[in-house]
Amino acid sequence: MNRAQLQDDKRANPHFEALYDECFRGVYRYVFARVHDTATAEDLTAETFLKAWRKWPPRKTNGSTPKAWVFRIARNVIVDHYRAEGRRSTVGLDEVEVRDRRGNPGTEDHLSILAARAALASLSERDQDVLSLRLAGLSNKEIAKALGVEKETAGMACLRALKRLRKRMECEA
Amino acid sequence: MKRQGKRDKEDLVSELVSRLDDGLLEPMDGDSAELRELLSAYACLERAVEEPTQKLQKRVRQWVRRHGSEKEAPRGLNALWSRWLPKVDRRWYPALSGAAALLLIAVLLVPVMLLLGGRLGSPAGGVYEHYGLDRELTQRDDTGVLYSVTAEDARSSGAASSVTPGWVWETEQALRVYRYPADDFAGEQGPTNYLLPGQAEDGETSDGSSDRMIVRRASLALIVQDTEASFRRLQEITADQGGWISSLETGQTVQGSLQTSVSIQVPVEAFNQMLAQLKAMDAELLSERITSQDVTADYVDLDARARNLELAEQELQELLEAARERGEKAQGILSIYDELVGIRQQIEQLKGQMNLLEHSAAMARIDVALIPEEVAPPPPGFDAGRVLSDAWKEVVHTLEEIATALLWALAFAPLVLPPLLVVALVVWLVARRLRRRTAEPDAEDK
Repeated sequence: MNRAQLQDDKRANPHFEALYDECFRGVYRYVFARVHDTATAEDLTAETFLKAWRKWPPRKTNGSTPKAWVFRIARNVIVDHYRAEGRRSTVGLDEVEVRDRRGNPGTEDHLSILAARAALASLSERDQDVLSLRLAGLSNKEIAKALGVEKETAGMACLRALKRLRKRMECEA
Repeated sequence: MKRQGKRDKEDLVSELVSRLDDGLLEPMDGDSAELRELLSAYACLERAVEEPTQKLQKRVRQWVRRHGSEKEAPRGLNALWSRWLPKVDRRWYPALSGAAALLLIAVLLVPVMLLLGGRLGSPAGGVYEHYGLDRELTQRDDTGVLYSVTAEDARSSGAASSVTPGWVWETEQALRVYRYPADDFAGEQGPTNYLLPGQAEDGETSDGSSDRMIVRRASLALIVQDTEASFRRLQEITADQGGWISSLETGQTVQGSLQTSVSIQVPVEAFNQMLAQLKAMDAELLSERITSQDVTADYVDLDARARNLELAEQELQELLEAARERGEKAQGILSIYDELVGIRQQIEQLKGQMNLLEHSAAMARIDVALIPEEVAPPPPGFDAGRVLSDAWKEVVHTLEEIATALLWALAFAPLVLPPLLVVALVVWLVARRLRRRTAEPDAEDK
């Protein structure tokens, strides 16, 4: 079987299509929560799935799932993105505000959204990761797999991140 | 108390996780205040993150399908290869790059080497090389090479002590080295009004004339293809010239071919012809050295002393006769006799030395070394084939050395590995600790 045939097989692979449908929303939200920008999130989401497609199928590792695998790829894409931009992975408050192009400026809802984003962006990378995966709709078990840690550790990390987030949001308010 | 707090925390975590997992963010009866606050903070965050549109999902799917079958765009040198050789599998690109780099180096180097080689290569071959003088040639024609040798050259070329300051004319055909004192030339002008060897009257500079006694020696190194065939030819030439082989030494080289050193004695009249014939053999002349030593003075001196002693001997003999006739005492006769024997011995010694000189002058000695091609030092100049074969030998040699080193390492492994493993373990532990600290800079910041 030559490479072209393999490619064709890959294209017809229903498993990848299913994974795509399952993960698209989650990956987008995960990436958005990390980059706080619509255009960048769209680009990085597309790049994530392109990489996943090229690497498909995931190598068999015990305990891991294809979903966790896709999120790990997304995480690497984000890391590469920040590395390429030569920037901190946490953006400043002003920057978050400037980057937001949606919503109705001035309304209270909009302000609280901005505050939440700013608070998230001010957290450590690890905390952002834990919360963003949660925002992507992953369960605690799936988060643990994507991060490669135990369930209990993931839960504790989630709690701590949320506590810190709340503290930041209070400060904003 | 502390234990209680820990259990509370664990309860909080499990409650939080289950509520988040189920998506029940609204406050419920029985929720603790902390849980409510955390859930509301999360709900706020939940709203802050955008949802992707259906359109985007469709668009990205198409984009991935379109670009997914494309290979990743090669970068750097690989981009060049994919443009020039699109049919070649990209796995070969690194090898191609390496080969191209080597080729480039070779292409750049060859003209330089040729240029240098042309300049470094001695046009006069081994004859010129022999003196080890890196001199510009002054003059060169079909018959030979002329160059000047300064006093400093003569000193610095320690190996060739026979080099004397002056002009040297080396002929390749006659294999004679003529030396002219530096005074005979007007400075650096060269031999403007000097008889060059071709025109010089023979016999004056080369062959010893009848009343002079000159010991001639030559040593040649010849690079031959077949040592045995060349040796047979050497024997023929020697026999033709009325000479003989006085010593022979044969050994096997590392490469397995024969290397032979021969000493030949030839009548001095045949010396030049012999050299010419040796040179005409199917061999490359690597080096040659011709020396002559004028022993006339020594010979004359020996002769004079011998004559003196002979006269004394004669007188003593007469004295002995007279004493016998007079009937001297045995004591006196004996003392005269002793004296006579001593003188006779001295005379014999002198005669022996004279004989030796005569023989040396009559028979010239030529040492010939027959060197097989494989072990001959490389000729000057650049030869790509030779360089390549040398390089290949070096590669094989290096591989052997690497294999040797590996075997040594294998033998020493039980001795060296345990401490190395300990060091590696320590390094790994430290690195892991550092990595964790940088990955979670504020994990314990509460």
